[in-house]
Amino acid sequence: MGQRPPIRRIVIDAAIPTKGITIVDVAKELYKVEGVKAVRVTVDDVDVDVLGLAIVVEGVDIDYGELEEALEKVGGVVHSIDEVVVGEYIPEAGATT
Amino acid sequence: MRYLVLGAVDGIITAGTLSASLILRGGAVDIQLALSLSVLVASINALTVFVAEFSHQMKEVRELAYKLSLREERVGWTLVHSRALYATLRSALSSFTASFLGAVSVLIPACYAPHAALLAIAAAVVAASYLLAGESWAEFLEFAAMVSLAIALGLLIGLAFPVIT
Repeated sequence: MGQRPPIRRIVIDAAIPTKGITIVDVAKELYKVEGVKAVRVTVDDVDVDVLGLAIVVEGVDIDYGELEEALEKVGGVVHSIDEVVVGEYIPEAGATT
Repeated sequence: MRYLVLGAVDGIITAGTLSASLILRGGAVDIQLALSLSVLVASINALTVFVAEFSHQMKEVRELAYKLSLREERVGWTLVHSRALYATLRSALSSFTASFLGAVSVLIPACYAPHAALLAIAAAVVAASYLLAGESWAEFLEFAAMVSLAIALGLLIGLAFPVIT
């Protein structure tokens, strides 16, 4: 107790500019964060200047602050956190209704 | 490509304008003066391109940052900034090279034969117009007329306000 809760998986809704960087840069930068074991970046919205991304990050004891900093370092922003899994294992997603 | 042609045309016009009074009166240009003038012209052009392009790129990055976060807050240095700086440096370097070659193509022939510079200018106009227009003859003629007019005006200004005599 008292330790940082270990984040196993986090799903982030983010945005990056269409010019200057690609989702490959985003994925590589996020993968550099300590504890991250895998990153999946999916484009889910395309605007003239902005790409909306769904980012899934999995690992052990992921520091969310570092993830946010890594995303900002490549010029992106976090819109929202859509899912987070904290604990010893990743539980199955349950029905919400 | 834009900065290559822009740099070359700028080099020809500036070198022609600065040395017009000497070239058109049949005077010979010293090789050291030709090289110094070419480096000077190319450096001024590259610095102008750098300042103009960098401010344009940074404005675009700020607009993008606002579109992303919908906040006016100042963002730190990001990968987008680094790539914009890299693109700007590349444009400035292209401009320097093209401008230097443009100036040299006018001034070096003038070192050996007084009126060779005029032939060199004509050849440079044809080459620059071909690069700008590509396959279209109409566009080639349009660009050639435009560049020739610019160079002619530059030479007239150079004659009216002589720098090197």
